[in-house]
Amino acid sequence: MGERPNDGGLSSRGSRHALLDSDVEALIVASLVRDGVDAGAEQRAVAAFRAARDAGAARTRTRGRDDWRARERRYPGRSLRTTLSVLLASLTLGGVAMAAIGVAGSPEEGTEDTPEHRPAPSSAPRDPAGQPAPGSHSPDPGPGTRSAPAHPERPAPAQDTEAHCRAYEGARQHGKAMEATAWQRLVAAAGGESNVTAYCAERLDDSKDNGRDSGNGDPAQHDGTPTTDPGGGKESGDDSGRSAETGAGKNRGEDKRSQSNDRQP
Amino acid sequence: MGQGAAPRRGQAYDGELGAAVARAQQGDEAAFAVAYRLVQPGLLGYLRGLVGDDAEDVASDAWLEIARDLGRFRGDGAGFRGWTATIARHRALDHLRRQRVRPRSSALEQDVLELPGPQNTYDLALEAISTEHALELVRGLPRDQAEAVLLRVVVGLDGPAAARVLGKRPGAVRTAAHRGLKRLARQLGAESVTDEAPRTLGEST
Repeated sequence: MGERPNDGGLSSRGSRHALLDSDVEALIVASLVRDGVDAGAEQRAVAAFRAARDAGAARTRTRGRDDWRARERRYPGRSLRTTLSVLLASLTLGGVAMAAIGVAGSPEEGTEDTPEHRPAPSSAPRDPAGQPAPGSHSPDPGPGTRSAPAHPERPAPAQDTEAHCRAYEGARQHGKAMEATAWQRLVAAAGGESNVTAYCAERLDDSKDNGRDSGNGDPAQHDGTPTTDPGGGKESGDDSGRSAETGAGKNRGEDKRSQSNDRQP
Repeated sequence: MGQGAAPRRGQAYDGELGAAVARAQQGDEAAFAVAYRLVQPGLLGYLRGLVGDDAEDVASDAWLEIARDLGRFRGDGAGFRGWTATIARHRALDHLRRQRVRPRSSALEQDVLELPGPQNTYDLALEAISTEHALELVRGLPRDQAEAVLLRVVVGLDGPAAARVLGKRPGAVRTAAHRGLKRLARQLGAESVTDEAPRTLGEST
C-alpha cells in the first residue's frame, strides 16, 4: 500500500512499505499499553467496589447491556437479532398504522356519524350520510333525525366496512392509521389482510358510484353489497348491538362513540 | 500481534479474569483488584487513544461505575472486557463532549510523551518509530477506525464484542479496523523508510 516515493531505491523498498498488520498492532500496543497499574488508582477503584458491595449493589438487576454471556453475543448476529428486529418493526409499524387509522377515522367523522354507527338500542335505522362519503358529507347538526328515516333499511355492515375502507385509504395516503378493532373487522370482512386493498377498492368504487347517482347514496344498491360479505356483516352487526348494550367502550373508539351516544338525546 | 504467544492482548488472561470477576461478584475485594490489574492496562490504552492524557481520569470514572454496577454484570472474562470497555467508552465520550464545550489545547499530551517506553521487549524492527508518534498516528485516524483498531488490538476484543461496544454491525467494525490498520501501516511504513530504521524485520541491510 505504501505509495511513498522512495528516492533511495533500496532493494528492500517494497517489503519495507508493506508493514504487516501484526507489526502495526504490536506498535500500537507498544505505544498505548503500559504494564502495571497505578497503585493509587487501583485503591480508589477497590474502595469504590467496597462501598458498592457494602451498599448491597450486588443484588441489582442485570440490564441488557450488562449481559455479556457468550450465548448472547456469539451467534446472535444474523438470525436471532434479525428475526427479533423484523418482528419488532412489524409490530411497531402495524401498531402505528392501526392507531393512526383510528385517528384518521374518528376526528373527521366522529362528531356526526358515530352516533349512527352505534345506534341507541331502540333505533333500528341507520344513516349512510354519516359516513365520510366524498361529496356527500355536509355539515349536519342532527344526522340521526334527518337521515335515519331516509335510509331505514341500510344495514350496518356496509357502513362499517366502507368507513373502514375509507379510513384505510386515508391511512395509506396520509400515513395515519386505524384502530385495532376497526382494522380487524375490515380484515375479517375482506377475508384476509392481503385482500384488503382489493376489497376496499371494490367497495369504495361502489359507494362512489352510488354517491354520484343519488347524493347521499342509494340504499337499495347498497343493500346487496354487505350481504355478499358474510364476515363483515356478522362482525359489525354483532358489534353494534353489543356496544349499544354495554355503552362502556372496550377501546378508545368505542368509548368515544358511546360518549357521543350519551350526548345524543 | 507479532509477539508470539498472545493471540490478542488480554485474551490470554480471560480464564483468570473470569474467575476473578466471579469471585468479586461474591464480594471478594482481592479478586476485584486482580480483575482491575488484568483489565486496566488495555482499558487505559484504549482511553489514551481516545482522550490522550485525560485517560487516567476517565478510567477512574469508569472504574467507579464498574465497581458500582459489577453486580449487574453477567459473563466471562472476555465479556467483562467488553462490558468495561463499553463503560469506559461512554465516560470517554462524555469527556470529549465536555471538552468540546470548553476547548483546550490539543497538543500532544506531555505525560504521554513522558511515559516509560514500550511495555514489552518490542525492540525489533519498528524501534526507530517513536511510540508517541505511533500514538499520534492512531489518534489521527478517523474516530470509527481508531476505535475499531483500539478495541480489537489494545483491549483485545473479538469482532462481535467490538461491534457491540461501538453499537455497530460487526461487518462495519471489521471494515473500519481493517482500513485503520492499513492506513497506519502505510504511514508507518513510509516513515520507517524515512527514519532509516536499521533492522526492519531483517529484510533490510
